[in-house]
Amino acid sequence: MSLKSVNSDIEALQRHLQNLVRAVDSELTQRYVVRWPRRPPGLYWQLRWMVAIVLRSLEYMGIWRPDPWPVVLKQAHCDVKAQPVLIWAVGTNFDELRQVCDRLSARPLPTFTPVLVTDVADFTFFSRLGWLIEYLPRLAGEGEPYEKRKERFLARLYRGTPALPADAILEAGWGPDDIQQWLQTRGQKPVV
Amino acid sequence: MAEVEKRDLPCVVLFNINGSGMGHLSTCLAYANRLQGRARPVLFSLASAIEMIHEMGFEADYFVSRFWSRATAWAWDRQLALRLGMLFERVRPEVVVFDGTWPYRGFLEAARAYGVPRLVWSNLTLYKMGMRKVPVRESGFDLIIQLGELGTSFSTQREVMPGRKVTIPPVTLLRDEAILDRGNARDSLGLDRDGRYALFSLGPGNLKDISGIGRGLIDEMKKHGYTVVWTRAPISASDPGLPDGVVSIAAYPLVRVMRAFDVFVGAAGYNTCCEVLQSGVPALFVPNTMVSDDQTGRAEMVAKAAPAVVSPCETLAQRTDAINRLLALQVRERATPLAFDLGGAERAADEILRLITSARCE
Repeated sequence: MSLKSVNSDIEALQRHLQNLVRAVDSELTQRYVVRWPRRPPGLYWQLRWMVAIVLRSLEYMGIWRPDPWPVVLKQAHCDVKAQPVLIWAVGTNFDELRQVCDRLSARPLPTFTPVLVTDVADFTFFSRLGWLIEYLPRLAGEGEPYEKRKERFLARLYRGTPALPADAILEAGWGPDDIQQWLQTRGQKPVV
Repeated sequence: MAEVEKRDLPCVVLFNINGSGMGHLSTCLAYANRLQGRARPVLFSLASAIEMIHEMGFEADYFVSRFWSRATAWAWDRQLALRLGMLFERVRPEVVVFDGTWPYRGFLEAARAYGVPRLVWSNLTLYKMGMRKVPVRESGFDLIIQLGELGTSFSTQREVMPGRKVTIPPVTLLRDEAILDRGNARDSLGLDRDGRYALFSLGPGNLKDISGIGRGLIDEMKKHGYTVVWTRAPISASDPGLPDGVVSIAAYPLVRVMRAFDVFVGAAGYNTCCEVLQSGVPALFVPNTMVSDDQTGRAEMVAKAAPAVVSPCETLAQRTDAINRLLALQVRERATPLAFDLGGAERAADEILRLITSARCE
């Protein structure tokens, strides 16, 4: 696959994700708000509760700024501040996805960490990668198909994160160095 | 299950946390197994073993465990609430079951916001001394299911709802008829029918490094002429390097093939102990002391009633002694099923179905 072709696949994915981001699921975010818990019984739990209030206040005042959704797992081999890269593998063949993951995890770079978005259930294999996995299963039920709604949700959660289509990077034979290089080049260009 | 059938049956969402092993997932799968045909179980799992759920015929979604994520508890709970909300709105559960020690804030808030008709908390009873009581009100649940240990029979602690509380006998993932006999289990694993095999399942090693103990025990077993079969836990973050001659397998649920083995060596998690009781295979328990449940207490309880020995196996002397005692048991007591009530999953499923009926009658 030529570089031009990879880039066009990447741009197509980026456009797809941007379209998803525009369709905000405000009903969901407004309905499922987590309220602050009431003071628990017992001194130990009350102390913990008070520490949490202090931390939340510091966060509210902007003094403490924890990453709202850190993607580097505790058991990951990369740097805690590694840049996330979405590996978009929806509809990807099982064996091909393994090939992509094998290639990217063979020599992990500390500077970036993949977040795998997939509808493939190969979790025994995924567990050993040390990556954050976002699963898109199909569930029977009412309303908008679950996998579509969750896809929109994820697109919004990871908006602005560089995304690569798994099929294209497999076909192009990209490894960690190619992704690193792409990230650097991308940083110099306006986002598609 | 056919699409139409799925929609006709009442939906039960089973939420399992990710503990030190696969225990919470196994408990939810045990409930799902017994609900099958009478309800539509859908799992929301924090344990990274989704294909195991699908292979057993159930739908499931996954969310990264709080123990794996670096997010603050507050941020993680907010994500959890949103994702659970999405799932609830799709599958429309009539009952939601939380299996774990501490129902998460995000779980409770999602259940409240959606308006889950009936909420259940399923939890162990045997914890280590001095463990703090979790600050979650039982009255916030319609039903509390306490998983009983060996010798427990069904009992009701509190009759009134909300907060009805029952204790059930030990829970097994599979029914007895689903467990393969020695010959068939060996065939399914490709093991020699006349060989001598020891099954090792020391846990995923995500909380405790088991490689040192494991290697020492492997050496001891090999001295006695056994082939060691090492179980790779689906949720392990990494696999330990294994010495030459050790056969590695990935079998879940393990109990299905457990009778293939002459002896078992493993941690003393709730489900492992139930599997040992159900299979009747002589066992050496190496309790994991880094978890909140009292594995040592449980293992000792099982060892009084079944062919099992308990040892920390930290030193060479302890390992040698434990293996010698295990092999002596193995000579005396061939795998024979034990007469204990292990019908906890059936009782839990009945209780869950009763809740559905009561909710529909209101």
